Amino acid sequence: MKNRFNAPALFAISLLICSCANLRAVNSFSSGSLEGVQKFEQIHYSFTQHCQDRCVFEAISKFEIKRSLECDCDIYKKADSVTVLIYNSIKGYLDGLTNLSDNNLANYNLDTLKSSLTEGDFGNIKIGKEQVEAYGGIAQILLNAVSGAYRKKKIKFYIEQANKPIQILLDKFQFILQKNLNEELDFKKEKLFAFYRELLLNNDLTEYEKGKATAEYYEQVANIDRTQQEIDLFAGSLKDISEGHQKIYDNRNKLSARELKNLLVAYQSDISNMVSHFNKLKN
Amino acid sequence: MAKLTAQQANILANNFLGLAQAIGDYRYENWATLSKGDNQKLGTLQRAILNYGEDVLALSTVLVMNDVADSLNRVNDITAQIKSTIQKLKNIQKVINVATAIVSFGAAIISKDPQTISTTLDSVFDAWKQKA
Repeated sequence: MKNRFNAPALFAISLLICSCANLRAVNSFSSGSLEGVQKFEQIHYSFTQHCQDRCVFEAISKFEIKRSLECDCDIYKKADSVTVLIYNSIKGYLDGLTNLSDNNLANYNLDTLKSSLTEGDFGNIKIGKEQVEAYGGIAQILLNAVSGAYRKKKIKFYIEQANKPIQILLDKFQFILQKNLNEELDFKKEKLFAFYRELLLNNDLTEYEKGKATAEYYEQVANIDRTQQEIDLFAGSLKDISEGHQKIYDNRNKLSARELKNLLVAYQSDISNMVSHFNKLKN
Repeated sequence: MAKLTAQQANILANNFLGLAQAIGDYRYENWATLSKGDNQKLGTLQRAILNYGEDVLALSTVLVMNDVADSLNRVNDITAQIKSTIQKLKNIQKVINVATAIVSFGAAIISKDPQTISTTLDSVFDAWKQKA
């Protein structure tokens, strides 16, 4: 009797441990990636912002004072819409993957069921407290193990389906930020350079004013550089997320939990470093 | 004529930046010798090229949409499936809670205690109404 009792329990426990560990590796990667990708919301620069800044800068250059500036920023607003659409799609997917792989999601609680059985009086049938606890315990382990295996199967399916499109979205998101948005700031720097060079070449300023203008120029360039660093750092981490996802996809059928975890360590560490450097830049 | 891609638009914007820088450098180096009119014309041209370059970068981003439309739909569809799976898994706990309440209700009927029957029946309804 004792042996019959232990075999399924051991099987269930091993199934539970195995599935949890695999899910944990995916959960750890997806939650880290989600945290990283959400740093996008802390980049306080956008295409529309760039257009509005340009509008103000032009008014300043021409000494134009108007009650309200009329800026045609339509194409910049569209650019932001596309960027946010891609961001939301990536975030939604990572959020879903994080929740689905979270062991707390399907850690079912049977305690009340066990206690209600113990307290119940089933006519002539009496179930001892020890039996209820033992069978209740196995039921809980089996239920969690089955749900763990079910989630693992589902996650594998979703990762298979999502791998190609998510790679495309991450790649294009990186392109938009690192190439387009960051290069908008190169234009901003060039305009500042032109403005201050001309100001000094015109010889209308005193030596003191020239000094002030020069300091002002370098201060503005330093601010832009910092924003560019933030964007660059963030965009670089999108490649880590993309490669990490690819790694999970490549090894979805053959690796043990430990191996998968080890394979993802480098990507997780890079994403985590980005978060930490990003926070430092912000402070 | 082939349509402009996001990548090509980005390269074009970079060329605009290089061109505007070259015009600017020429103006600053020849500031003293250029006539005021020529300098102004070149300055206007320089600023216009910079503005075009900025616009083209925004356009490049809009053009990305052509490359991602299908991927966006697919990822959003998968995300909806994931959410539905999560909801199903959460519902299991609700089913357990309802089943638990029904077991207590059954036991109460056997005990024939009207007070317990009423309380446990309420628990069944409460468990059913509970959000997953």
